[in-house]
This record gives sequence, structure tokens and C-alpha cells, in this order.
Amino acid sequence: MKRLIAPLCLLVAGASIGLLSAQYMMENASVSTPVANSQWSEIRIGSESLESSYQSGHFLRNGEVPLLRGSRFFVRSKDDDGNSLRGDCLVTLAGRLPAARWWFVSAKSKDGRTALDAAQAIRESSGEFAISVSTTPVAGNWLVPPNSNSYELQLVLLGVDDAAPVTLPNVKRLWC
Amino acid sequence: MRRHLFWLITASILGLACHVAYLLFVPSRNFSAAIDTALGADHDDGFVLLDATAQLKLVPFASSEHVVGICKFSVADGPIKVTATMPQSFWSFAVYTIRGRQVYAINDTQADTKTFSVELSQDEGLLSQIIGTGEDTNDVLSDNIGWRIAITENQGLAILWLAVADPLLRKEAEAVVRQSRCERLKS
Repeated sequence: MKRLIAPLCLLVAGASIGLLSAQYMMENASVSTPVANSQWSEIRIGSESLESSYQSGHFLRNGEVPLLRGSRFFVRSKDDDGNSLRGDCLVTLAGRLPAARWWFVSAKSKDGRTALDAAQAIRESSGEFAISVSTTPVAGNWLVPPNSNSYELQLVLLGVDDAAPVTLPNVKRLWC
Repeated sequence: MRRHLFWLITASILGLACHVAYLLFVPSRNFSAAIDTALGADHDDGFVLLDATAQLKLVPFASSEHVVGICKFSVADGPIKVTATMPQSFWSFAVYTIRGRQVYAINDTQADTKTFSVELSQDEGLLSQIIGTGEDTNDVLSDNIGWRIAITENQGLAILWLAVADPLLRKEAEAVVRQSRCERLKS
């Protein structure tokens, strides 16, 4: 009996490592590319390869449709100072967006997703814009996070050049 | 020593098998279940326009202001013809397999027309191609079919996505997209 325990533990450990590594790779390692000089990461789905299976799996396992070709998807869960994004704080997202036919910004938590679309947002004549993310009302472009817990910001650009380098908006926490 | 090595190699192979099995089956199963929940019981009737809640949950490239129509299809019992009608706007039409692989995509600037059709069929196996028992499924323009796509899996999704510049025009846009059809080709 004792002689079987060690092999059995080894098999359970092997199976667990296999499952957990698949989950981890889908969630993190193989799906996002950091954007230079920012806390943003880009999730891309490449052409058919092993890596693209993890990239698609990132969306599929959450019951989501993988990204459209010709779209770019950026995420972040921290502000510029490295603080977690929380619904009970006032956070501003400001700057200029890369040229795209359409864009929107989402706040996503475990409880759902809210979004502010290009058609709803007001931009300055210079092309710059600012969006306030808060559970309490704010003048101007206002995105309500799903709840007061932590969330992730998503920026989706549609109808864009796939390969072009991008400069993305800054995210600052004003108060909590 | 040899016994330990045997179990170590067996555990590594088991780990690899679990990793691959998870990658192949869990995401597509979750995806299929989420689609079925969102589409409800009436998804055999062609395109279903999602409501804002389902849209935000299911489609990461859509906000609640967009119009999204989804048709879950099966090509196991024969080809499916998708006829899409889109309004003047920025739109995109894409076909995914049930494993989430995008096999076809077209948008308003590429289509150059507001109505187009696509035939979806199951890819013939290599054996059928060699012995020549399958029908000709080359990507060709033919009777009322704009394009033919052969997919390797027998289930998939056709998705119509449309950006609406003014929320007041949403109902009008939805009415146009509702004319789109996703139906089995009569033999």
C-alpha cells in the first residue's frame, strides 16, 4: 500500500499541474503583450498556432466571443501609480486615442461590464478626451463601474491598423 | 531508481494530456453553454438580436449601444446559407467555429454592398477529397451565393456586429438587421 502512495501522489500532482498551467496560460502568460511605458496590455489573437489557442481560450472559457479581426483590445487593472482600480474611487482616463473607426471603454468586474461608446463620449476639439470612472455621478464623460469592488479597464479599438504602435490614455486615481 | 523514473515520466505525460484536454474541451464547452443561454430556445430560427445585457456579457468587442445578431448553426446535416442585410454604417460580419476559431470576416468597406450571402458547409475530410466522393466546395461565386466557406467543425456561429452612431437610430438599424437570414440550403 505504501508503495502505491508515492506514485499516486505523483500522478495527482502531474494532472493538477497540467490543468492549472492551462488555466494560467489562458488567463495570463500567453495572452497579453505589455504596451510600452504604460500599465496597458494588449490581448491579440494571432494566426493559427498553439499560442492562438490560448489567446482564444482566454475569451472562450469566460463564455465570450473571441475578438474580431481588425480590432485591438487593451486591458489594465492598475492606474499609472500602480494602484488597483476600485469602484469606490474616482479614476480619470485621459489623453488621445489612436486613429480608429470606432472605440469604446469598458469597466469589467466579476459582476458584469459597463461601457462608454464613441457615440456617447464628448471629445475636445484637439481630439483629446477625458472619462471619469466612478459610482457617483460626475460631469462630462462618465463611466459607471459595475460595483464598488475592483475592476479592469478595457479599451477596444475597431477598424484599426493591426500592427501600428499606439499611444494610449493615462489613468489616474483622483480620490477614494 | 528506474521505478521512480517510470512514474515521473507517466505523471508528466498525464499532466500534458490534462493540459491539452483542458485547452481543447473546457473553453469551447463554456462558450457553447454561454451562447445557448444567451440565445434561448429560439436559436434555430436564424439570427437572434442580443439585448444589451447579453451583448455586454458575450461580446467583448461590443458596447450596449451596438447591434449584435448571432446565429448558431450546424453544418452536420447540410450547408447553411447566411443572407445578411446591413444598414449604411460601420458593420462587420464574422464566422467562428464552435471552438472560437474565426474562419471568415468581412466589413462594410470590403463588402461594397449592403446585402450579401455566404454558404457554410462542412469541410470534406482528406479521404473524401482523395477518392472524390464529396461535392465541389471550392470558394467560388455561384447562384445567389456570394462566397462559400468550408469549416472543419460541424457547429459554428455567424455574427453580425453593427455600430450605431446615434441611439435614436438603433430601432431602425435593428429592423434592417432583422431581415438577415441564416437557414439550411434546400437540396
